[in-house]
Amino acid sequence: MRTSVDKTLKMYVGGKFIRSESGRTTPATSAKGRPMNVAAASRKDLRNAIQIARGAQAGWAGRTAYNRGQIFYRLAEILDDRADGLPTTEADTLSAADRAVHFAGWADKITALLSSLNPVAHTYVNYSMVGPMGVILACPDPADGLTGMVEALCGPLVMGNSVIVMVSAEQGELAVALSEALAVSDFPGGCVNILTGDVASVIGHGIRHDDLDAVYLLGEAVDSSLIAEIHTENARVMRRFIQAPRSTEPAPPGRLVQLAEVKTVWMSSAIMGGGGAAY
Amino acid sequence: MTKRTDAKPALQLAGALDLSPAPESCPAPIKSRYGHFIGGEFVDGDDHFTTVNPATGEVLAEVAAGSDETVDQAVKAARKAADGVWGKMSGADRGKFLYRIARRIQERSRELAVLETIDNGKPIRETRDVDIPLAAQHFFYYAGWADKLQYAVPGGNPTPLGVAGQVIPWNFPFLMASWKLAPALATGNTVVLKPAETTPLSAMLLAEILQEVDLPPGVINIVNGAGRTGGAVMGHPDIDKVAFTGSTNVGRIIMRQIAGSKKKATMELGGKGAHIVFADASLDQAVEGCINGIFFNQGHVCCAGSRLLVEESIAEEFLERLKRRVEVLRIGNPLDKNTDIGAINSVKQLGTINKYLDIGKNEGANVWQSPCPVPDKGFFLPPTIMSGVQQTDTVVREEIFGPVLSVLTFRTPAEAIKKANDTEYGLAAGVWSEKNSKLFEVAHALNAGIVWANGYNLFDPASPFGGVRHSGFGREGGIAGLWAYMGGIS
Amino acid sequence: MTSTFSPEAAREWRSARVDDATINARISRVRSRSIKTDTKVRLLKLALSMIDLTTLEGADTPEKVRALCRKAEQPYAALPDLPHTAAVCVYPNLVPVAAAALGADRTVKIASVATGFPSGHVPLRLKLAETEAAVAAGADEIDMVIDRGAFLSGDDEKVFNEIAAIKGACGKARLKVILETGELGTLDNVAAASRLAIAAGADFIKTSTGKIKPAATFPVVLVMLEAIREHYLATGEMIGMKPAGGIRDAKTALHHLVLVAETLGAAWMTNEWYRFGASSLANDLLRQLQRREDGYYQSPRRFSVD
Repeated sequence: MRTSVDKTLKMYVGGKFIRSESGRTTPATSAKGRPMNVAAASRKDLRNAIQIARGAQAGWAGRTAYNRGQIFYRLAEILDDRADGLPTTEADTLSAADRAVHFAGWADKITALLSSLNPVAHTYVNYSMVGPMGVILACPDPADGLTGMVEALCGPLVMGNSVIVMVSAEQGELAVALSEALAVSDFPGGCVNILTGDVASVIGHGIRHDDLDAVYLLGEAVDSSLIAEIHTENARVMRRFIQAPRSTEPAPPGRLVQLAEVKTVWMSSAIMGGGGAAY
Repeated sequence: MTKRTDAKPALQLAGALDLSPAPESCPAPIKSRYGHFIGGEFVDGDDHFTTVNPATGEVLAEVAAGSDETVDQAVKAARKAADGVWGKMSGADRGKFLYRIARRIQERSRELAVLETIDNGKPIRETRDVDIPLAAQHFFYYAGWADKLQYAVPGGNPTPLGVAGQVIPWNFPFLMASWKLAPALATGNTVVLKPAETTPLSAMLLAEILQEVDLPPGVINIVNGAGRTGGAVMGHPDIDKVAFTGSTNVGRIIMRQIAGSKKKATMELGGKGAHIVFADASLDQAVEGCINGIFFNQGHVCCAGSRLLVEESIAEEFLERLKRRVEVLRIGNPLDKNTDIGAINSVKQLGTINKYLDIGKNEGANVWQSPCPVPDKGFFLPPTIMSGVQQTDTVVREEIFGPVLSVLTFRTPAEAIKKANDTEYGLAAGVWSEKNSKLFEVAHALNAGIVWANGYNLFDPASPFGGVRHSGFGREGGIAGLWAYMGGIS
Repeated sequence: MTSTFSPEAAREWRSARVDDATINARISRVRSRSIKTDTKVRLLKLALSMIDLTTLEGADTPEKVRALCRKAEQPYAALPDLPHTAAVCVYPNLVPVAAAALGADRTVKIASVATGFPSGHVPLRLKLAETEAAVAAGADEIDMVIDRGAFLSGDDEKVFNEIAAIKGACGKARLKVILETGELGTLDNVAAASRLAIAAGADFIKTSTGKIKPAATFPVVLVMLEAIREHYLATGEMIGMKPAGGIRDAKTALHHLVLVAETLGAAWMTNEWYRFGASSLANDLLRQLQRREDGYYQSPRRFSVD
């Protein structure tokens, strides 16, 4: 019998596979029943990830929508290709691939759908557009598997944010599989990051970090007792907190808009003798 | 035939035109005592406080301070209306009530303007031309949404949230009430509204209007009082949605208060708006923009352009232009139609502003104040410009909420953007240039909910208003203004 | 001293930029000024004293000009203490009539349009000859039109040199340069033309001929006042302002006075530096003043038509 090659389960930050700076790991069991040591994200790992995500955000949002759409689609291609090999059910992987396809299609449309040209009673062109919030910490419901992780990262990303997806050690192997797909999907390093470890503790650190713009929880991502604490800490910095149901369905536009900021621009538009001008 | 002088030419602007008093004379009766408006009826209160005319310091009326029981009554009345008549009414019919309110506001607009000016201290020119007409326009705008909500979010199946608790500030008492009430009602919610304690009168006149239009009892309930009453509204267990406009500090308190509840929230909080003027701007209009940006409503504006960032090459000249324009602003009786700058809303706020002026002086700022004559009673402050300040100074970082402009300089667009975004706030910003590519680039790069390009402090119900970061979240106005009051969309 | 054209200066004039949306906001603030009681009386009289009482019709007759002069000297017999208007404004051919009517020791000035008014489409030598003739006949002031075609085609040098030449032909007469803003198309152009005219030697800049609409609108006047202000602050040299055309009622005139007071200040609040080119305005000012006396509004028919 052949001796298998066990995988070292690292986290994915800034386009690189890293161990926790703390050197800590959490024991878990692989899909094939092998014992594993999953990297356990520390407070400093989160801080680093936030800093890297912040640095990558403008570059990601600055890409053309067409380009971003193709990158989502590339993720779907890779997941589809690996459907029978990932440490989850084939159905879950295919569903995750389909989810990525869904968001690939939003990338160059959602802004048009949620933005508006506002007919103000002034000689200004007034438009509102949805734009990124910045850096979002997203936590999928563990029960949603790979689909949940893809959902958790696609929503923030499609709105131009960078995202840090936080999953538990139990999902460490799956998270690494997703990271490996992301690493070859042309997402620029740092705009999507995956941490593994104790979700509640990492969120607990995250909400005490002022440079995090939003916390996005799907389904039963965390114990409900943590919710009040998240709210309370968020109050200090007016951080956005988006709670959503499980990832059975992709985020509808009404949720995507919560993962974005509405920005309104008034652009003066009057020439002498023009409509509305007092000339 | 031309006249030449050797001295540095100076214009005689201050006092160039004496204007006889032109007081607005429309009557606006004030009762000696006000209670609350609950379930469609005016009800008496127990404890009372006073509201004063900030232009004279005289007491205008006694106003009830709502107790927890009062708030509970109001919430019950709102719940009954939400579950009953209002919740069951068709959108089209709800809309017609909002249209009625809009029309009544227009009809009684001058009375409302006078009342607002007396209670708040802001000039009649603003209440007459901005606050009240814009309030009517908000009701008119959202009236039209009431039967079209399913189109407000693609794929949404919107439902009302239930009862909204709304706490409004003293800087635009009637307008902020309208900004909050109109979308809440259009989306089928009912409301418990708490006006600011220094400016309760126009909301009480609104209550009369609500009776005139036969708005079903309980749809809008108004509970007077100060912070404690506001806290009781926000914290009431049967409130589904809280909407607050005010300081970031109070916003934090409310957010902590409702932490862990299922309440939805929108927060419209403080700001420290950057106002960027490039050398290629239309300078005289940029000056006008600065005037509108910081001296509108005595600078009691959360989105005020309180940080002027001017390109270094024109900074000195621009400041001269600005001062020349400021010199002709008239400060005085808010009821006089020619008054440009009225009274500071309260003696407390005047103290806060003066504290910042002292801090500015201690930090080395050059403080310039308009030489315009200032009334000797009431709470007034001449328009003030602080130059020689830097990004690190308190007066540049903190919201002063008064007619005080800080002036900084920059050299490149990148530096302007960096300095503008160097703030914990993100409500509004302005940018002036005659180069379109620069306008768009900078406008989009500014981290703020609203950016005025070649303009400042323009408002419209079709245009969403609200900030990012510590300036709060959620939008008021426009389609986005509906989202905060609808369930079933995400 | 004659002015010399410089391309660098022309580029500077042409770089003037005006934001129309905000200038309208500024104007609406001026137009909301409420002018009451004492201020109103004072400004009505001041406005009256600033009028260039004008008749510029093909059908003008000596009789009409004589009547105009009489009215300029004493606007309304019932109120004998009122100021006289600043000037009468007529075609060159009628300057001798006005000169005879007003006399040599006149207090009311004689302004004459010249330079192929109103279109200006005549050769420069005719413009110069016309100007010289009007001055010789007794004109104290010359209201010339600029060559709008040349300005709009970018030939600033031609426009400039014409103004400078006419200025030379004016002798002691003050030169008012009509930009005809209604044909300039944008406020940027109004700002550029104002600067050009001032640099070329205008004593006054004037909005319009009265033959083209729109004429003296508030945004246009403000842009011109700002050009005057810039010039004054740079050089200490005062330039006069004359809005003309479309100012028919007292309220509009008074708001123009607010605009000049708030833009240029007290020194311009005199008919030496500010004029209204108008005909029917005088009657509305008189009607308002009479109302202050009587306490009721007169029918417009009570005042002579010219």
